[in-house]
Amino acid sequence: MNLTAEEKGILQGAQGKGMQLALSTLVRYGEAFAADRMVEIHSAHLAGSFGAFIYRTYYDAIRLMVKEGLKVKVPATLNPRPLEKIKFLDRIMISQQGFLEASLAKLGVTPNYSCVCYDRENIPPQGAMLAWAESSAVQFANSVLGARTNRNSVTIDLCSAVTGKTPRFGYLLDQNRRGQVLVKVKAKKIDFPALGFLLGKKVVNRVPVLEHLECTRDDLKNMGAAMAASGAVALFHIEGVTPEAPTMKDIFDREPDEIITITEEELASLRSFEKSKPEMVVFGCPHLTMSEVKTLGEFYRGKQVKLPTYFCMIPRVRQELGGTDLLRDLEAAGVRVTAQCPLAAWTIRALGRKTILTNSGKLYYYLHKSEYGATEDCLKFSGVSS
Amino acid sequence: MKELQGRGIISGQATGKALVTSQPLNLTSGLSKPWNLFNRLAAVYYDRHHELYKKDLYNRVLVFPQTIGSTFTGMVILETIRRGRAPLAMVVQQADTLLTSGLILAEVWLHKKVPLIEVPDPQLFNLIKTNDLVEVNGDTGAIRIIG
Repeated sequence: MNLTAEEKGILQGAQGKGMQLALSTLVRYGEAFAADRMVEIHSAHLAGSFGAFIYRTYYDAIRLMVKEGLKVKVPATLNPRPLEKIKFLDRIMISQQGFLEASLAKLGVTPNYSCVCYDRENIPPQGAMLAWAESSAVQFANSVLGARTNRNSVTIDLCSAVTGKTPRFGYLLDQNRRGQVLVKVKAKKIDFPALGFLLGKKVVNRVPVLEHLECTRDDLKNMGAAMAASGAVALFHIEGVTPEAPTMKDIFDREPDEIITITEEELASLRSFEKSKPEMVVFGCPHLTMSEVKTLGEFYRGKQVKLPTYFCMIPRVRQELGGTDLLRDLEAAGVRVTAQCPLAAWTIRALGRKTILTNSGKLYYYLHKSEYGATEDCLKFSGVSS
Repeated sequence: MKELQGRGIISGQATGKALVTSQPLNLTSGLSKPWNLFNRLAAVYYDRHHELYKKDLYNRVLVFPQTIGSTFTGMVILETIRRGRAPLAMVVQQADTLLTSGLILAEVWLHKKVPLIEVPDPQLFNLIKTNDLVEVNGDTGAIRIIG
């Protein structure tokens, strides 16, 4: 790799051990993928927000950086808190939560505490170079915003945040963002998380281009998250919807490597709630936006939930809900409003947990004892009609 | 004796028994289970839909297409290596960023190397079989099946 004089100096320890180790990591990472040089990033997003006792090396790195007075060089947002009301047994699993949050604050990390950092706190412009972790956020930044990031791991994200750099390879390069696989969806009504779940498995690590379809940004958020969980997809395009694919001719340089057709039956086959008896309903993986809270919330006004029902949302959204009629009505209906990470929360609290029904393809993929339902299935089980 | 030539990404030499799968591995969901976490970070693969269900990855030459899933993967591999519970070496069709990050982090922050070789050969899982005795050289990218 071609390194600047300053970068060479950092590798020799000119800015301390923390910077030296962080940049060495990034240079090795770049070399593994034939990067020609480092680039300055617009922002970072850190996925390592769960203080689980096992992440010792991550904490060593953070401790060193705090000790040397390092600060993030770019805005760096952060993933959700695993739990909000930490009970005694939880402390065994996430014993380092307090240390982690305080240390990241000292580094200057933005305490947005949400995987949906791109709703307000971290919205990069098209073409911006990023170093984001969190597979669902990487998806959104690349596909919906047209910004550029690789699938960065926890700890690599931290190295990039404190150096302000990432190696130039992968999805940062034009040629790796081109369409590879064509996807046709033959369904009148599209279940987006289910579509993401299926595409992740079929596409694995290639760049799919979907034929034009009607969707909201939240639909793309939810589809992308599922695709990034069941596969390793970092970027998708939708004809006439996403910024890099106004037409098929703009995004394909040659014939697609494969044409994948998804049918209504395949989408419906994911709905598994008849397999076991779900006893709680969870919405919000990725976190719900205000728009989603309002849309879902309408179904709960003046009603009562039949099963414990959780809305997991961006902390700022919960704050903005404070004092509104909507919040009052949700609470009156028995909906539990939280900003925790549902995946972390119900992994930590796995012992004797009830079966969860969710409309999140990502949550369904990861959580054992969970079933998938389309939004209307979840509303119905929850006790309200759609 | 069969020989394969790949691209060495993490250096080092190792000889061990292969554990082969043609299905991608989700190391976050497969390894981050209570049974491992409370067993000194054992690397037993707990994904009941996967052909390697309940197989211990420790000390094996792990041969697989690539990893999928969470960006926590690099950190999961890193901590498994720290505890000495990791595979002996890895041979993949495609070195993805998450797997590679984990091994690089271990090299830079812990000075522990798990050789990684990339062999983009569609026949990889026919050429190396589970329990083959395999010698890998991460410096040269050479792989020899010796038993």
